[in-house]
Amino acid sequence: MTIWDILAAVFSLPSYVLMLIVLWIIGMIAGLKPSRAFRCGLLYAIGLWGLLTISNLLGSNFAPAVVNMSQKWAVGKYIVDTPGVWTVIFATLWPALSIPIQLGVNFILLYIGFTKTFNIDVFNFQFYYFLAVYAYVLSGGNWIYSIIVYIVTEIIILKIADFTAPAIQKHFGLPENVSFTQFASACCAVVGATLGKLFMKIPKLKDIKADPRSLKERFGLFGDPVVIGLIVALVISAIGLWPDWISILSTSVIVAACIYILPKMVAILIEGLVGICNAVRDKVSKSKRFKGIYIGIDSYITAGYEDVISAVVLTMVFTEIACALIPTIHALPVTGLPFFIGDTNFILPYVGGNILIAAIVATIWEIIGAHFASWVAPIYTQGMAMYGGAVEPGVLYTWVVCPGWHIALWIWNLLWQFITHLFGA
Amino acid sequence: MKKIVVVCGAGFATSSLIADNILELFEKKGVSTSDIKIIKARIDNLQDYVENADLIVSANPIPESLSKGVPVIRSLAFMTGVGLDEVVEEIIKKLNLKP
Repeated sequence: MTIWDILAAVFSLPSYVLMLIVLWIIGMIAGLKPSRAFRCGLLYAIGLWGLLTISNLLGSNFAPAVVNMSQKWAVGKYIVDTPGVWTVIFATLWPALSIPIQLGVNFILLYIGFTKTFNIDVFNFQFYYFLAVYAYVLSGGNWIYSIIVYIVTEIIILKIADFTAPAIQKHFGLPENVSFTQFASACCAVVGATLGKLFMKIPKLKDIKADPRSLKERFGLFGDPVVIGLIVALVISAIGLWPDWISILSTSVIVAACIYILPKMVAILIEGLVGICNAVRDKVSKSKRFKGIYIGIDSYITAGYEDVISAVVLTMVFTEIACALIPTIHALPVTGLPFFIGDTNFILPYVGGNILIAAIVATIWEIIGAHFASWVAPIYTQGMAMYGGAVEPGVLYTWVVCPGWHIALWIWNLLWQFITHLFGA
Repeated sequence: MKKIVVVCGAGFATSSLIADNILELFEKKGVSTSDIKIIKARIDNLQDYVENADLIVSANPIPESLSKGVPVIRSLAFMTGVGLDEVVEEIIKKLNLKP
């Protein structure tokens, strides 16, 4: 038995077992005690298994309803919206690989003065390797292309974080040493700075004021992503599974359950990464070299500002209606709803905190994204099949949230087609 | 038994970070953690967890309508690492914990 046989055996292990070993090693390299590092790896493995199981359960329960609906009624919403598109990325080697690549590249860029931001938001590296994982899939397993996609994404987002930091700090009253490197929100800030500012030029529109407080109270229960998801699932299953009442009701509750449980599974997975996050953060905050820079953090700290909460609720409702009515969109957002906050929050600083304009701009952004999400669904479906997601034959899957992902992936796919055409591969 | 509710936007990433930091720094400062219960919450579900809580710790602003009179400590220190020690001292003081 050679070393290669052993390696091959290790790499053929299920992803959750493999990641336990990989993160145990990475944790020890990051300076954790072996026992602590093992616990980190174990928690990651447990969270990952939970995530994959929940996503697959959701996919296999929800897919028949969606497929039947579009076959019976020809409504054209035949692509299944599932978080499985996202959760399988945690089953690749990228969660471990991203840490040295991300920090190394960031350090060099900071050193040569290209950026002012040091991104220590380890968990949200996932947004970058989401693209890297699917670049690997669409290029037929090209590691170099995958790594290039990761680094280019990282560089662009660091630059956006630099540019958007002052406006965001000012609007939300945050300290001057932070910027926001979470991919979805960085894209959303760009949309705010362009489309949002354009909307502010329309006379009369900017005078319409919606009071955030009364809005939240008026929507009440219906402002909750779980409840919106339940209603959408109920409508889809009612059309698709009629007249099987028991299946209609149980499918809807399963969808709502998944929306609620999914973040809890991610929480377990993150607990495995926390030790590594802390080690990175402490090194950065204690180093003199890093004085006067922006520390790149998560953008979800904006949940809780009343204008953000209200704008997100409006965006969820507007987007759901728009996606149902527009015939060129082939998927309905369901399980991505709890994450719409990242596609809405940073429009607000650019539209003077006007929640109605922010919601309209965010909805337009989601509509554009939903088209791209429909177009790149074959790549997602292929990737899910590769990494242990439950895929029914002949069914397409996507995840309507974070438009930046779908647009970027579409461009990377086009570029790959171009490269292979050029070199005749 | 002291009950601390840690809150963040999605109820997973930052709240896990905060919870882990509180426990680790308590242990470092010799504060017993056996009597402390930390609960992680998503900000819009906070009302389900806030009952009998002694303290809310968050990087997000917590509106009065959600905190229901429970004292709130808000800080970005858990994420940036800047001023972390002071925040943990403040938590210990607010909860009347003795090393």
